[in-house]
Amino acid sequence: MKRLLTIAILGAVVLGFMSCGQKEVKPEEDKEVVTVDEKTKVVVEDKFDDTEYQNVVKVLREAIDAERTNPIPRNKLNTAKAYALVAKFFRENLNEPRYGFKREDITEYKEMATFKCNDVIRDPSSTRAIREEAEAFKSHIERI
Amino acid sequence: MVNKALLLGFLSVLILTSAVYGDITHQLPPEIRTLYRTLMQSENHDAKRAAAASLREIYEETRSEDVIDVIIDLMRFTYNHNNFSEQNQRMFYDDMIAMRLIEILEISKDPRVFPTLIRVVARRNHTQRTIDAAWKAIKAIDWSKENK
Repeated sequence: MKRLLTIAILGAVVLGFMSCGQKEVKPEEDKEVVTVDEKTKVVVEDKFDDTEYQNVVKVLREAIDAERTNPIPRNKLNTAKAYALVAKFFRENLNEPRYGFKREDITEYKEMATFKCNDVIRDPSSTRAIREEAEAFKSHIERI
Repeated sequence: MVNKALLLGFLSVLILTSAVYGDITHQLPPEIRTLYRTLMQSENHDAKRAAAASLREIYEETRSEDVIDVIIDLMRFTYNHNNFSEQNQRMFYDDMIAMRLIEILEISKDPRVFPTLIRVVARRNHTQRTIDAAWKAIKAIDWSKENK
């Protein structure tokens, strides 16, 4: 009987510790969400320069889908960056005859990126910071 | 004199025809050229649908690059309506044809179709169903150098 009681008490203590552990994890999970967001932001910034085909497609799809569901200035600017990435991809593969890319393809996406930047600049809901970022990005587009 | 006039007239007709039908028709085999013209000019949706199906059959049998050239041209100039609206019956029917053409591009896996497909997803002059078909075709592109 004593043994049974000891086992029951020990079990309760172990369960208590386990539940305490779970409670401690919660704030960490919250922290992780923030960390992931920050990390994602950094990764996304890098992705706008990575002209590897799969990345170009992934970045473009994410940007277009995000803008379609939530057309805020930040998402519009990301679409502009994705278009600029497509233009860079065409430029880097212009001399590959099997792909058949043309200079007009580069021009088309540079124009689309510029148009999106102007859209961000004119958008009344844009903050000053995002307007400045869009202006700076227009100069970047010209250099592609 | 009459012969020269006839020759000049014939040449003018040829030049005008090539101007009207673009610069790819003169290189096309007759069967593909007929389908191209149907897809470009016909007002009959059933005829266009049949032409798209024939184009697919030809491509599956021959893997002809002419078929891909024709589709790239059609998707750029004929099946790319600015201010697309599903409520517009003609645009809606054209979109159904566009989807069938994109399905042929998907089979091709040809990197040359990338700008055409990107235009479909970026400009959004199509239904979501067709845009999804374009994304699927983009994923199917084979970029390996050994492809050809």
